[in-house]
Formats: sequence, structure tokens, C-alpha cells
Amino acid sequence: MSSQQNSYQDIVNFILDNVAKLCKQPRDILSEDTLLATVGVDSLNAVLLCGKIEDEFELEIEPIVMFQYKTAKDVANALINMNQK
Amino acid sequence: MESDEMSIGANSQNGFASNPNMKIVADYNVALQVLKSEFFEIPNLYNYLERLEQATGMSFEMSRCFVNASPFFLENERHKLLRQVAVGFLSHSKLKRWDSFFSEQIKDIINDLPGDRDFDLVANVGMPIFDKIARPLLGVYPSNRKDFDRIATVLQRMVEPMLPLKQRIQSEADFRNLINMLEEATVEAGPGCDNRVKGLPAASLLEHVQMEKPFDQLTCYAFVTAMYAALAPLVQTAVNMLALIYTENSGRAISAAEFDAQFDRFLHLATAPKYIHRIALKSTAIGGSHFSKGTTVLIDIQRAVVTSPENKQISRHMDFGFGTHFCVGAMLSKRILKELVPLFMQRFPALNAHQKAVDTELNVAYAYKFYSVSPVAASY
Repeated sequence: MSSQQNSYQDIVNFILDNVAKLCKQPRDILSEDTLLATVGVDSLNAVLLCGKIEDEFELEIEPIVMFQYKTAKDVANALINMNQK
Repeated sequence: MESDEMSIGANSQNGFASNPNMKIVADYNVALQVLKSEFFEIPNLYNYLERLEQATGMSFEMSRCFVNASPFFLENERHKLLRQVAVGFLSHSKLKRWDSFFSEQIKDIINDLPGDRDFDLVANVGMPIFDKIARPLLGVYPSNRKDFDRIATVLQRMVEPMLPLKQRIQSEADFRNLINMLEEATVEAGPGCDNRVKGLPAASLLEHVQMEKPFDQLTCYAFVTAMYAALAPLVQTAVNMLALIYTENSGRAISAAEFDAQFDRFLHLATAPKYIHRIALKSTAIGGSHFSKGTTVLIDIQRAVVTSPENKQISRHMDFGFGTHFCVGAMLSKRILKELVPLFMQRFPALNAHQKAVDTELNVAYAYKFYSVSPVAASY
């Protein structure tokens, strides 16, 4: 697995672990294709989740990204793209 | 003047449109029913901050204090009382007393502009409205005006639906800093003196609220600061309007009569605020649109209009909001714009635009970061 794939998987897992905690959902029902809004990612949770992503990966991210990209997979890809720019 | 890239009202929906918890309303009649319905309320920022405190363990005490002292949020008794103060203070009859003062200040703003070199519409025309008009009118005299204005003039960002946590933390520190600067100035001025400035036509809003209502000093300071910050849309609209007029007319001004005749159109197209926000309290259907409980409704001010079939002019709009939450500063804004813009055009019959940048980080308003122009010498 390339380092980029490692990063991608790290970000996806980090997002899903934290979505599970914030939204009080079992981790095992969440996948990279789960629509985040449908499991309880609202404005408050989006803000908290982005704060955690910023701290963990040192990436600046607007909470609205959670709704623009909808799933952990899309958010992770968007973050990787943002980081490469 | 080259064409404008701002495209007011055409897009700038950011990610809102893709958020299933948010719904943009662009139909005037649907918007009207949303605003009239008891099933929609203003976003409860106070409650949001409390939830954020619980989730993070951080304190947003000062942010909550500001929300509690701002007449734009919530609808409890305290807010109604503060709104009454603001509406009364900014009523037609009260503003009348400030008439000649406003005219003098507007003249100063225009006369201070250089006639022979570049200047920035934002820094040199818009921002002085805060210092020359809002400060004396509202009684906002901090210990450090420059620092105070740097923070207070962008407080508008705090109402963004999803401000990143770091910025929310910064806002909390900013609020504390603003209050400190007002308190320091009061201490420096001595007991019994609330920074009153001699020679003004009437008591400022700060003096008014201190005399009239049973609020503590912190609330009074937060109230006038919030009102001061709320003038940002006027400043942005003034700049947008100037940019719009000169752009539409290939860099030339228009006559005062033409400006008067088209004022409502200019005002609508230049209006800075993008949306009126409401939250659906229960699942509701209006005019074929369904709003699930908890949906954030964003009424698109530029698009939610009624156009007259006869002359294609906008006959109904929500530029200043609607109903009980109609903008308390609407009359003041129109008063300033109707004098400032023609006076500016009289002084500058032609302008060249050079550099300009839209403030893309601001999701709640159409605003320029800067808009540099140079006067064109009159040719005879």
C-alpha cells in the first residue's frame, strides 16, 4: 500500500471513529460510503469533527466540507487533494 | 471600469446547497410563508453555543453574552426590550436630530478622498462610515479605536452557520477584548463619564440604553458593540452600490435624478446580506417544498423577489428582512446611502477600477476585501 493510500485509510478511519463517538453510533455500521448526515452529523458535529481533523492531521478544513462531500471516502479524498495543492 | 466578477445573487451558495440539513429558498411566496409561520424560528445561536460548550468543555461565555445582548437573535423578553431600544433610537423622528451631523460626516468622508490618485472604496469610503457615523451615533469609544474596529467590523462572521472551532475560540477572545477596550476607556475617562462626546446633536445609543433600561454595564457594552458590528452590511452595501453603478455605466457616474429613480434597484442588487436564516421546528410543507424538522432554511435575498410583469422592476423583496425581524437599521442605511452615493458621484464623474477582490471567506454577505479605483480627470 502506498503512503498516499495509508493516508487515505488513516483519514477515513479517523473520520469514522470520531463520527461513531460524536453521533453515538456503533462503529461497525459505519463504512467509507455511509452518508454522514444520515447518521447524525449535523452542524455542531461537523464543527467538532473538523476541529479533530485539524488537530490530528494539521489540515485546515471548513466544516461545510462534511456536507459538500457527504461520505468519509469523499471527505478523505478532498482532504488529500487540498493538502496536495 | 471593467466588468464586475462578484455576480451578486448568481451563485455563492458555497456548500449550503449540498447540505441535506440546509435548504435554499429562492421563491418569494414560499419565503414569505416561512417567515410568517410559527413553525420556523431564528437559529438559536445561544443554545448552539451551550451545546458546543458541553461537547468541548470550553467556555463560550462572552459569545453567549453577546448573543444575549444582540437584538437580532432569539425572541425572549430581554431581546424584545433591546430591540425596542434599538428601534426607538433609530426611528425616523430620533434620526432627524442627527440629520445635519450625518450630512457633515458624509461630506467629510467624500472630501477626504484624494482627487489625483488611487484609493480603495472599502478602506476609504466604506470603513469611515464606522468611525465617522456609527461611533458617535452609538457611543462606541474604546481605548484603542483601531484595534476595536479591526475586530468589531468583522463580527458578522460569528453568525455563520458553521464557524470552524478555532475561529469560534478566537471570537470568544475577541469579544472579551472588545469589552475590555470599552471598560478601559470608561476608567480612563473617569467616574460618571461614559465617553460622551460634546457637540453631538443627541444622546448616543449607549447613553440612551444606560439611562432608559435596567441593564448592567456589560450588557450595554455588548449591545452597542453588536449594533456597531451590525453596520457592516451598510458599509458593504455602500461599496457594492458604487461598484455596481460605475460598472453598469462603463466607469461613469449617473445623475442624482437617475440615482433617485433607480435607488430601489441599486439597493436590491447591492444588498450585502445573502440569506435570511430560519430553522424548521417541525416537518412542514409549503408551496410544494418540504422542510424536515431541523432543516436550516436559507432564504436567498437576491432571488426571492417578485418582479412586476409590466416594467420588469422588482416590486417586492426582502432586502431588509421581514416582520418582527425587519432590519432595525433600515432607515439609517437608506438615509446614509441616499446622500453618500450621489455626493461621491458628484465628486467623481468617472473612475477607473484597478484591483479588486471579493471576500470569499465571508459566507453570509457579498462583500469586497478591497476595490481600488482612480479618478479620471474631467475632459473639457
